[in-house]
Amino acid sequence: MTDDLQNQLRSAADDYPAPTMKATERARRAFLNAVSKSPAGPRRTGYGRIAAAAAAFIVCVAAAFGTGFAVASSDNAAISTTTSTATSATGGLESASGPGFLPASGWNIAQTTATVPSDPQSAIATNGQIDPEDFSFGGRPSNTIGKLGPEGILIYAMFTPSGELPTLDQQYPKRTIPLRLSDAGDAGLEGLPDRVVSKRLLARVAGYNADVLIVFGRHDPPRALEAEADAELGRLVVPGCPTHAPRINPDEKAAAMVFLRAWLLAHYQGRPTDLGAVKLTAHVIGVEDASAGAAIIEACGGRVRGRLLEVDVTLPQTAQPPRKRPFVYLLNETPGSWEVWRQG
Amino acid sequence: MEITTEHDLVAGAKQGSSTAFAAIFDRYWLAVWRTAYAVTQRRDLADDVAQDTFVRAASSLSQFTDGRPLGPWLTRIAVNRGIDLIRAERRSSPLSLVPEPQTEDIPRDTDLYTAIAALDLDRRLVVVLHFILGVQLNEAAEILNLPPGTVASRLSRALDDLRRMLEADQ
Repeated sequence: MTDDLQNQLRSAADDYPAPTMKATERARRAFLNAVSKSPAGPRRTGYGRIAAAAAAFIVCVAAAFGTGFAVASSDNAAISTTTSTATSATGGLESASGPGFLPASGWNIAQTTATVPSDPQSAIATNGQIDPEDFSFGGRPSNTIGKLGPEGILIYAMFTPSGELPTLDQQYPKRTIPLRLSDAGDAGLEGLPDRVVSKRLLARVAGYNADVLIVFGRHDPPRALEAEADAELGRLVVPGCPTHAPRINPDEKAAAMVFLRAWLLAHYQGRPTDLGAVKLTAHVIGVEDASAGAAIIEACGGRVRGRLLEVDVTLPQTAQPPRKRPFVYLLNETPGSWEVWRQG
Repeated sequence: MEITTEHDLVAGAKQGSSTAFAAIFDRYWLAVWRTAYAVTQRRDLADDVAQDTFVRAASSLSQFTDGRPLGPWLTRIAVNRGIDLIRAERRSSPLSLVPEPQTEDIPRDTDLYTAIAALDLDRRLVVVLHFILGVQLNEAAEILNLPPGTVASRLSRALDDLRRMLEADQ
């Protein structure tokens, strides 16, 4: 009897109550928000928070580009970047702000703008309506999923920079844009409505780990619906190398450094006084002797020669946290402004 | 095969990797929630306790000792927070007004789950940790801050209770 009972208990685990998707997403959001404010999370001073919020309105910068230029390491904790207008990996197309979906008729899209490079960036696309509660992001869009009709499709993509943890990166197979539905497997997620079917696609692409959830509003979606989802996946773009940026005239270096100083002021997370003694040196990649030049050209190809400005940012020796090596930032010109990239 | 070790996740989280934090949440959320539910027997309280567990963990992860297993630490926070919450609820309302477990929480194997829900908290926790969450007894002892012998004894008594209740139903 005891053995029977113990076996019964062990096999009963599957049916033991589980959290709802809504509770899961709320907790996930709360956890990730708490993380960003905790000592273990990305470091950010009060000054940095205010400045970064202001920066969202005044600067447009990109977080990372090209394989091998993913951001984020503990070394880089003192300075953050925000997302920006970025050239998509599909070539020539402009993505609104970092990874996200290109607009298309019949589809509603929304995406986040990260304020620190290690923040996840998320994008939603649905052929239905996005529930207003899901605009807060921070978790899967459970309200929108709950309202999907039988012809409904939702694609939710979460991007985190690759290169933070090699063992985590291994879970994301290297893929190329456009992503394809045929590469997705069963999502195996708990808490979704019974009537929907979900697939999950993991991909390491252009310096990001992408975790893409595709939800259909009914089981056994017909081919036409799958084709619609596939087409929308094709509109999911991530920043690529700025191969189409205009060539930089060396005379413009001073203007770029003025821009970068203002940008650093908005994004630096150490003591603001450190920036008073910061030293900047600039070189045009592929034209002048830039320390990161060879690696960048290897990753992005020769087309970036002359189109990127490397600026080495050396903090004063008293900076907190202390750092011996300079931060390497890269800028390319855009109409009326600059994009800022960071070498990982 | 597990590709990412817990050590990697903790190390990544300590460096501020949001990827690592998200992975930690995904890996432990269900177990933490079920632990919270085992203590509180109410979904709404389990939601709050489990969420609070992760939020507290976020603020103290920097002090987490490298090499220690993360799961038992999180589970222990959930147990303690659940017990605190129940005590607070009982202090603020007469016992008779504390809601009973909601009927929709009773799963398909009604007799068994009703019996588990009817166990004393101490015994219910050991049963859920060991049989539902697959925690070994020595690990359960660490989570509950009890000697392993005490945990084994509670489990034995819990099984006796369950057997009695299930036989009485037949």
